[in-house]
Amino acid sequence: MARGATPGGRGRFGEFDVLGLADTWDDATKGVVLHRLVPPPHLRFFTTTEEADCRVLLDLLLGQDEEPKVPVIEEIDRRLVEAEGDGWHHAEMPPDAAAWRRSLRILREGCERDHGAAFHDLDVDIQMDVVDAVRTSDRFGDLPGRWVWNLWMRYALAAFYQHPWAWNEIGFGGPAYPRGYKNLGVGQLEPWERPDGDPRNPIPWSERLERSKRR
Amino acid sequence: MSRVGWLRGVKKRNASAWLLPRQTTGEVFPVGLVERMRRYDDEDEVDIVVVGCGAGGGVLSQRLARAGWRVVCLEAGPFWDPRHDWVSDEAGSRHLYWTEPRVISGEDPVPLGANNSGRGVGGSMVHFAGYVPRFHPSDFCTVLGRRRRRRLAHLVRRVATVLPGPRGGTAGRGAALAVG
Repeated sequence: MARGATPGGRGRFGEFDVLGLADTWDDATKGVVLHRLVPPPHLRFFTTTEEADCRVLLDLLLGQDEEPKVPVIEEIDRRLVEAEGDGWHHAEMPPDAAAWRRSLRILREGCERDHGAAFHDLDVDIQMDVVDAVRTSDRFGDLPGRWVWNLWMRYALAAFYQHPWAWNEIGFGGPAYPRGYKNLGVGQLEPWERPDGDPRNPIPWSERLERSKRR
Repeated sequence: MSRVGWLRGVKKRNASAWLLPRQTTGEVFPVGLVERMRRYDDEDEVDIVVVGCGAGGGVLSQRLARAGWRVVCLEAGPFWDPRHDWVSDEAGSRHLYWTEPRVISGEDPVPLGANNSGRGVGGSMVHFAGYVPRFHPSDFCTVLGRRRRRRLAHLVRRVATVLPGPRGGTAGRGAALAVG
């Protein structure tokens, strides 16, 4: 089996490639999953200005430092254009599409005011501080910080973890129908599973945060 | 009561449990049942109109139709064909959720949509209301003592008799959750 692609070429499950299991999935599922590997179309929701900050923001949130990167902004853009929301928004937030626009505007204006530069041009340590303040502060502009954080992470994680490259990184076997699982239990592996080759945290968010605090 | 007698009693009360194909025969989704479903014209007079074909509306419609009522059940979503419409993938299953915009509030609100509502015939039951795993009989054999296990098995059997589903299939497992 050829080595499976992972975000940033990072992985701890050896040569594991979930796409090698595609023939064990039913046709409907296979179609849906393999379509995620098709090069994404141009953005339709985010403006060029928003895109510049948003790309950097999403890379930071997901620890996507190097190619290949899961096309996260493209999937979020598609969902916002097609109004494929989660079915709710918090009373203190606008609906999701408007909330994305407004939160990116607050990010842009805040960085220009406090640092005299666009978010995507800032030093990565400052970017970390700015983003972490959203997570920990009551307010982000006129929006509640925790619900902005919730919005960003909810869309970012959904887009990231639907992609087979992310499954390769975490050793996830993908769809289980009709194949199923037979070796249930701690430490028991399926024939296709690979053992975890590196128990270290692959995305040292907290380490990076600590480093930027010490700066 | 013997198992045969017990089954006969269930069949009499709930024949629709036997409409679905047995899992062992390898039969696929019974399209004919959907195609042969009774339909009414706009001018037809009916006895009842049920709005929403989920866990409540679906069962109500089935019960009344079986009792001879002329029933129309309105449902905003499709009558899913699991062979083509459902996939074994979380993000690929978003179309099963009722995602019309709703507002939540408060400190620790329950998000709506994927967790607790569904779209199409079956309502939120098409994804087990988003949080119900399929239990297997063995799940009840490892941690329960023999007496509790017997009592639980009895309850499961009783609840299973009123739930349609493949024989010995998901019905009993769903019911087990209701008592567990």
